[in-house]
Amino acid sequence: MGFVVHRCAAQLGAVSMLLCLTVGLGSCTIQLAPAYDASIVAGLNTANTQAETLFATVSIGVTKDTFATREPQYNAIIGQFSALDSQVAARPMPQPPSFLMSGPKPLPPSDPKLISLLTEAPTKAALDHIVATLTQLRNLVAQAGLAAATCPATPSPALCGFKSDYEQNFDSALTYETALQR
Amino acid sequence: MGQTGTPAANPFDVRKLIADIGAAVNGVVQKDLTTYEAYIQRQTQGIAHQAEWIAESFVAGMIDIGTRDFFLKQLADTTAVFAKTVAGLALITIEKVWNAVVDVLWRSINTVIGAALPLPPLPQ
Repeated sequence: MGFVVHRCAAQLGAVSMLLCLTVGLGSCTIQLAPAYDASIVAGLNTANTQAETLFATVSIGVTKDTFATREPQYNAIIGQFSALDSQVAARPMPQPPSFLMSGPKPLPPSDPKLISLLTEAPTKAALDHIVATLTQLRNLVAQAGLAAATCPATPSPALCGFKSDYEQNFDSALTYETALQR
Repeated sequence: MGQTGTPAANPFDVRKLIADIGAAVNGVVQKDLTTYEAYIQRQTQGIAHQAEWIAESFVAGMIDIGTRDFFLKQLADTTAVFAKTVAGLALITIEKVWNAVVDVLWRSINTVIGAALPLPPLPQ
C-alpha cells in the first residue's frame, strides 16, 4: 500500500476519485505535499497586517500601565495565528514515500521528532513559533512595558528582536504555503 | 507469455523523448530554484542579523539574561523551521519532477502503442 496520495483523490473528492479510477486514471498524478489552500494564505496575510500594525503601535514605547487597553489587540492576533495553526494541523497531509523516510536500517539518531520533518507541513512549526513569540511579547509588555525602538538596529531594545523573530517565521510559513500552489 | 502489441503506427522517437524529459525536469527545477534561492537568502541574512542583535544588545545592556536566553531558544527554533521549510519545498519539487517525467514517458509510450495506460504509482 502506497503512502502517497493521487491528486485526483485529494483535490476532487470521492465522486471524482471514482471517475478518475474508472475513466481517466491516466490523468492522475501523485501528491507528496498538502493541497494549496487559499484561505490559509489569506488568513496569514490578514494576521500579518495586524501583527505589523501592533509592532508599529508599540514601537514608540509603552508602559505596563497602558497594557490593559491593548491587551485585546494582542489576544486577537495570537488567537488568529492559533486558529491558522489548527487549520494547518487539520489539513490532510500526504505521507512521504518510504524511500525518503528510511533505508534498510534506521538512520542515526533514531529520534521520532526528526520524522516530523516530512510528515508535518513546516507551516505548523512556523505558526507554533509565532504564537510563542507573540505570547512572550504580550507577557513582557504586561509585566514591564517596552522601550521605544526603531528597527532594524543593532544594538536595540527587545522590540526589534521580537519583530525580526516574528518576520523570519512568517516568511517561512508564507513561502511554503505559496509554493503549494503548483 | 503476455499479449504482444501490433506494429507501431508511430515509431518511438527516443531522441525527442530525452529532450522532452530534460525540458520537463529543467522547467520544474529552474522555477523552484528561484524560490529556494530567494527564501534561503532572506532566511540566512535574518538568522545572522538576529544572532548579531542578541549578542550586541546583551553586551550593550539593552536586554537582560532572561530575554537573551528566550531569544537564543527562539533562534535555534527559527533555524529548525528554516530547515523544515527547505525540506518541505524539496518534497514539492520531487512531486513535480516525478509527475512531469512520468507524464512525458507515459504519453510517449501511449502514443506509440495506441493505448491509454495509467500513470504508475511512485515506488515505495
